[in-house]
Amino acid sequence: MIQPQTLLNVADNSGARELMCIRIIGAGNPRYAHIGDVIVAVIKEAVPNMPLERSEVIRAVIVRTCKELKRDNGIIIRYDDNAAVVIDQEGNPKGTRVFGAIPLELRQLNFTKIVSLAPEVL
Amino acid sequence: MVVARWWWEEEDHDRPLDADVGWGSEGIRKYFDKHPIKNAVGDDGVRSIGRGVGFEAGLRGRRRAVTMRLEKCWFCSSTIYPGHGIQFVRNDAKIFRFCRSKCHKNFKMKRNPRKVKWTKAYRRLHGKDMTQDATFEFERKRNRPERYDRNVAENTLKAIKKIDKVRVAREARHHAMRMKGKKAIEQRAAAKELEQSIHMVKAPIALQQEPSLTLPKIKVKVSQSQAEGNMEE
Repeated sequence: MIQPQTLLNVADNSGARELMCIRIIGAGNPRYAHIGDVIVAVIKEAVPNMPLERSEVIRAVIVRTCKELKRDNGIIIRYDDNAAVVIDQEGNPKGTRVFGAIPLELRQLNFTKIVSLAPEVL
Repeated sequence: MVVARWWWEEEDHDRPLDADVGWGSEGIRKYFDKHPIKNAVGDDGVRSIGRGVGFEAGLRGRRRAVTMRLEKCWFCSSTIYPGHGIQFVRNDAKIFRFCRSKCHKNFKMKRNPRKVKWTKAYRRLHGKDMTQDATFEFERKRNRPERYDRNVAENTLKAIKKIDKVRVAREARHHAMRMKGKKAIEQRAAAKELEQSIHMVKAPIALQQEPSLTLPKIKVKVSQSQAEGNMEE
C-alpha cells in the first residue's frame, strides 16, 4: 500500500538508494499502489557518482511491499520491505541488476526484463 | 508429494507432449497457439489462462506445471492446505510459511519454536513425540514432478492412508511408553497423601476416639522394578 510520501528502497543498481513516492500513475487521489504499479518518485538518497542524483524525479515500478499480495490460487505473500525498480518511460529498468526476490506478477504486467534479471522469482 | 498434472494432456492421449514442443517459453507459447484452451473466455483469456494458470515459480525456463504442494508451517510444523496462511519472504529470499496468524504472530515476536511448548519442534526436541521412524521417509520433499499416471495416483492415495494408520499407531505406542508407570506413581502418591494429610479432613482426636472412622489401608499394585526402586530410597 504505497502512497505519496512513502519511502521505498531501490532494488536495482541504477544509482538511487531511496525513493519517495509522489504519485501513482493512472490513479485518482485516494488510491494506494501495490506490486506492479508504476509510481512517480523523487530520489531521496543516491549513490555518489552515478547517473541518477538526489532530488531527481523518476518513474519506478513497485516490486515488493510489506502489504500482502494475494494470488488467485490462495497464496498470500508478504515481503519484508517496500521496494521499487527505477524504470524509464517505456518500462525498461534503468539499472543492470536487480536485487532481492521479485514476484511472478511482474511478468504478466510486461516487466519481463526485470523478471529476467531477478535472482529469485517467487 | 508433488504430483504434476499437465491438464492439457487430456486432449490428446496418443501424441507425446515432447513431439513438437520445445522446452523453453517459446515452445510453450507455440504449443498453446496450436492447441488453444477450449473453455477460455474471450480472446485475451486464452493466452492468460494458458500461461497464467500453468506457471509456477521454481521451474523457471522449463515447462511449468499446475502443481499443488502441501507445505509445513515453519513455526508449528502443521500442514498448510491451499488457501490458508501467509508466506513471508525475507529479503534474502528465504520463505517462511505459516499455517495461521497465531504462528505468524509468534514469529513476528521472534519466538523460537523450539522453546514454544505446543509446537512440533519443541515436542520432538524434548522427546515427547517420535523423532525417527521409517514412516517419516515417505513424506520427504521431492522436487521432481511426476508425470500423472492414474494408477500411481490411486496407489499413492491408498498408501497414504495405510502409512498414516501405521504412523498413528506408532506414535500412540511411543506415548504409551512415555506414560508407562505413571498410574502406579499416582496411586502411591495418592495413598501417601491420604495417610499424611488426613488431618485436613478429620481431626486426629476424632479418629482416635472412634476407630471405625479410620480409613482402611489401600493396597497398591507395584511392579517388581518399582518396588526395588522404592527400597533404594
